[in-house]
Amino acid sequence: MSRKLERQTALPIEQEQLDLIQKQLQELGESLSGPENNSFSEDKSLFLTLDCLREDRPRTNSWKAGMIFKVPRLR
Amino acid sequence: MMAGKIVKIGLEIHVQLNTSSKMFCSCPTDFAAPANTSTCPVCLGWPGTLPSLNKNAVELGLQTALALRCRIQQVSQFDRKNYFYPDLPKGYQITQHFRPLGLDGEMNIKNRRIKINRVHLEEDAGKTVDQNGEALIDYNRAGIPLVEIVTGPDISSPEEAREFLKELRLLLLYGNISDCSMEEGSLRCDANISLAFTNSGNNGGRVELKNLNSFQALSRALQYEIERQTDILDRDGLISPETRGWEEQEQKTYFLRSKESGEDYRYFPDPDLPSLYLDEKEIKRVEEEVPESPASRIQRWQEDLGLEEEECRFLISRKDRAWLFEEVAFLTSPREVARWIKENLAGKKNLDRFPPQFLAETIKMVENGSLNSTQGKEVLELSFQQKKDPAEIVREKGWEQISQPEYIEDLVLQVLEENPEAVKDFLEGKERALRHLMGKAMERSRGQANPEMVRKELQKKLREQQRNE
Amino acid sequence: MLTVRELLLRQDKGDISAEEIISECQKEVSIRDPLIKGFIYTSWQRAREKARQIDQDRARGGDRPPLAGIPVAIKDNLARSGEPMTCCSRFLKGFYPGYTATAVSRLEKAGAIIIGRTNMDELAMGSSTENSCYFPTHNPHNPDYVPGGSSGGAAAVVGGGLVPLSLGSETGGSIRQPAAFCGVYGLRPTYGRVSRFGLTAYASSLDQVGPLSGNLEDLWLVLKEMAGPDELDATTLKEPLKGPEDPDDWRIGLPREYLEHIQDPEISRRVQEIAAELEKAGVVVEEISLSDPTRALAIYSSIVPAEASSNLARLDGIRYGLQSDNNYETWEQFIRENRGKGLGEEVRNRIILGTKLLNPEGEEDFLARGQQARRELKEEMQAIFKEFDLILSPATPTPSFKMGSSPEHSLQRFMSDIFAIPASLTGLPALTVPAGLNSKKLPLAIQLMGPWGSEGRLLGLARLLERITGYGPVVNDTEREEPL
Repeated sequence: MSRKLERQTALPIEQEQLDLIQKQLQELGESLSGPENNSFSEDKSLFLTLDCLREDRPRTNSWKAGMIFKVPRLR
Repeated sequence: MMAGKIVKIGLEIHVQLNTSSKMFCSCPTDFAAPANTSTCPVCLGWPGTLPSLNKNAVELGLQTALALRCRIQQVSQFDRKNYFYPDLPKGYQITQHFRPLGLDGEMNIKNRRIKINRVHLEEDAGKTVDQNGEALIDYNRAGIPLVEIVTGPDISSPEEAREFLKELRLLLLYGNISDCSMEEGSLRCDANISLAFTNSGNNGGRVELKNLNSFQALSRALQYEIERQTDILDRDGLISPETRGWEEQEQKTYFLRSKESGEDYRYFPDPDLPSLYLDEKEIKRVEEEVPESPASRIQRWQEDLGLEEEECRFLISRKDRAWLFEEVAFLTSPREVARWIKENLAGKKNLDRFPPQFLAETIKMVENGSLNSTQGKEVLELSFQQKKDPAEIVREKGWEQISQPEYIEDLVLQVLEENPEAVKDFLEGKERALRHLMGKAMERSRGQANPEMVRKELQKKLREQQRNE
Repeated sequence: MLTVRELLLRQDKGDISAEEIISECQKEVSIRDPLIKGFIYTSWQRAREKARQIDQDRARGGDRPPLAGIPVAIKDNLARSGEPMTCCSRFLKGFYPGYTATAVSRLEKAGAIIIGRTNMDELAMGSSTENSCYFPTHNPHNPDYVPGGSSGGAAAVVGGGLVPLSLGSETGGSIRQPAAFCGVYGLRPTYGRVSRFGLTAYASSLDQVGPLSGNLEDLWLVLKEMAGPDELDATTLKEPLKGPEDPDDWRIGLPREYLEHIQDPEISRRVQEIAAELEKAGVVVEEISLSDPTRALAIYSSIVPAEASSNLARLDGIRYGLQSDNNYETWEQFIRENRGKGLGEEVRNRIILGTKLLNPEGEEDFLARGQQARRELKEEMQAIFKEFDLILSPATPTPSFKMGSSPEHSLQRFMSDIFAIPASLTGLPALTVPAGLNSKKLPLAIQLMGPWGSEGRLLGLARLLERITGYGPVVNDTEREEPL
């Protein structure tokens, strides 16, 4: 479980931290009861509509062109 | 191969959209640019940056969904697919997981209906290049708009898969949705395949195939898998869900990873992008702007213009060919036009920049005999290369047809005088001699005499001689 | 430190130039910031150049921009081209974003002069500015006490009279709580009012940029310049900001459940006192019932770390940020080391918690519960605002606390933000209104919350409060007797 969490967080994880997190989750469980509902809240007036989207025009200036990015030893 | 085998193939296709800027920022979509020159804080995932949705990308995605006869979800949503990878600048990809743009579509290939499960928008990742034990990353591609098309497992053979992909490619090409080039990476395809045997209980799990870089690789990899899996199942082995890659050199698939270790992407709606709402009027407008599909064109050519399927296939396979054909087909005989294009312009590029009337004129000149077919071919070739009016080329070559009656009369008289044997043959009843005399006349006039007039004049003069005898 | 209005007036009269303003500001900062330590970066040369330009433009007869020559400090999580943005994290030390946050560029366009960057809890995670990778900031009223957080530096430099205005950011109560601790006004605008482009994201659906100031009118001026739709931020509002409202037969709600969570009797007394003054001035103040704010805390704890874990995934060290120089075999190891070394403990813990929250795996789905509860809270607030024009509440359960004393590693450490969080979760505007000092000479404050889009109404009541209560911001620049 911890291996998967390390992969998902890209962080080194100690058992201490896991215990702490577990405790926090427990606390959360105790203080947050109620129905589960995953759908994102909708306010129709805040929807994106076609007319307010960005026009498909490429920018004309260049920005910090040609930086070099690398990662050592990609498997 | 065992009888009663059911092959289920599904395709997952990613298509780069033909936009000028990226999905969520204004960087140009020029993937050929030098590394990391078409990037900005947004597509590099700099802290503080936010996505700004590209209108044209949405319209092209909508067009794709409509072309594939999907049910359009008026409210669709962008979600984050979270995972770490060097080519993924934000540590998540913005995609549409929960509410895609289009659902439940279909595409027909050769009387088979292939279901389209979903069509949705997402952004592309960067590219990594291994070099000296390190990986260099080019983010020019990161953020380029993609439309993802997922079929149902309705495809039943490698040939059908290839056929489907070809049809899809044409459809998207004609819709100006994408360049659809597997070589350039604007069309990418993964396949899922599973086998089931009707008479035994032994069914294989679903295998995903990746790294298919051409149409050929697609069908070969699928064929290889069918054989490999059949072999295993025949021996009562198991096929567990896994991902395999295609090795082009060795023409084999190889194990990449098992699918049991579920990758959890922790999808959740992207709080930086409110839901996208498309109203019916807008959907209709986009629908009306969709260019005619290839299938519809082929049908029209066959029904209205009398073309054969083969001829249609040849013309449709390239947009510029189809365009030229349609422009010229109403100026003269469509089947002639088709033939001319096939015989003379097959290897040429950018036919859509060739003035259609030039082709039409050339064809007409050969049809009415002003040029013979050899001359016609040459005139067309020069006209195409030099972008010159064929009439001008004919003039330059001195191939204008001579139709003055005096000239024709003189010419015929000369030929008759110079070829007494042939005349004698004709008078003795050998019709073939006329052709010989025609040939001589055309030769003498360097092909420029109006053949019809020459023939008539010859016949007249010969008949006169006949009567005189 | 003079108010913005006074600084503008004096420039108009020719009594002072923008360059002189900046010069004075620099002097103040050099003398007194060493005691406060609100700044982690200053850009005086650049500021003076800008000031000179403003003076020249004026001399040539140009229009005076609305914030001409006004020195402004910005929190270290706001991007500005030509200077670093570290969010007070080791991971981002030396990182130059090369672009400018919309809120900042709008102020600069209005003539404001950014003079420096203020201290914060690392990546905005904290309530005391003790989580900064640099050093803690001190409360300008008492150096042994915290300025609050995460915009502690921004609040302290205003509360200490070093600048008239600063920009902070909020996810929970990171503007309002430090404003309360430092005796200044701090505003959370309606969600979407101010563009988030250029603000390092913590929890995107709660984050907002907001102003801190010792003067209400200044606050409003800054908000007006920053507010408005931004093509670069799809969550910005199209609706225009509505001007200040004058109190007119208003009904103010006072939630008893909030009062029950006050831990300091002086705060309780001050709240009641202010309520009474309002009543005397003809404003109706009624006790109301709202759901307990600890529930809002729990909702916050289920949603915020989840969004944060995703927002911080871009900090991998490949394109920018700390690169560990150990030996590594794989890119995974490389990224893990960069993050492990560069990100502080609080940040790492929240990322892990957030990742777990996004991964229910058959366990209870706290995130889904939180989202549902958030929806309900929003509905509850909307219902209350049908009956009441504004809500009055304490700003914090305690005044500022001593450095080194905040509780660790439990929901308790969010308690300082308990009254602030409901507005953050529901996207409603809220204002910390400073209300004098307590017996220990530490600032006290109350909070006003309004319905969606009602920043103008908050301002209207705050103006009234200033007039009738005699309390107000307490800017501790007592060492300066003579004005600028």
